[in-house]
Amino acid sequence: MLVIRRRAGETLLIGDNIEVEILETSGSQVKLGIRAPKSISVVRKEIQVVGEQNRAASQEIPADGLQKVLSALRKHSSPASPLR
Amino acid sequence: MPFVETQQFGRLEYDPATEIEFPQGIPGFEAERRFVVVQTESLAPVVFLQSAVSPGLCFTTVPVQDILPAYELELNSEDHALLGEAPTLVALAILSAAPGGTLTANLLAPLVINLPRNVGIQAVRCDSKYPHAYPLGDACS
Repeated sequence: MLVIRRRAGETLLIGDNIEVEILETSGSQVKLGIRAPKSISVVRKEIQVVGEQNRAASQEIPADGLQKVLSALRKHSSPASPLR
Repeated sequence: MPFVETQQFGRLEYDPATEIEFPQGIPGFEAERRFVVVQTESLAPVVFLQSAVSPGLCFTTVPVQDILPAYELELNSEDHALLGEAPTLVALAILSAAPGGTLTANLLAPLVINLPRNVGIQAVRCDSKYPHAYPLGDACS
């Protein structure tokens, strides 16, 4: 991993066509501005991980397995579904 | 009545007023914008979100309060902007089956639905207060 220190107002260049500017630092947060072609996806890392989790979760769960787990949940389930 | 042929429920007729729109899809399924809510008495409190477009795509979810009654939902400003004004929001955790047979719930990134507007998003938390694979129990014993 390349480690670089920057202050607010300074910029990094990645490849020929990506710029990352440190816009603001406040407390434990950093505000970044990213200039990149639309063809390059820029997302929070957590999003990519969630995408992988969603793909794994899109498989059907067998009903009998679901039933076993639900009986444990029903012990502290709310009386009415919020969607009804 | 509109219908969708589904892998899990066969031919599913539904009231179009109950279709939920996900304007940005969800991570990994960005093009999937329309889901139908399916609930059955025998599997309460499970809420299935069946794609209105792809027969084989269906997420099994449980309201977060049925897993952790004191769950605190956290949304960023972009989440709020997409969902719009709502007195109450419904938060659903997607279930998945781990290889060993344990079912887990994703409490880190719940699906959040603004029911009056029928709009939904997946709200990915920036903190690590809740895990993405909260164990619910062994589904295979």
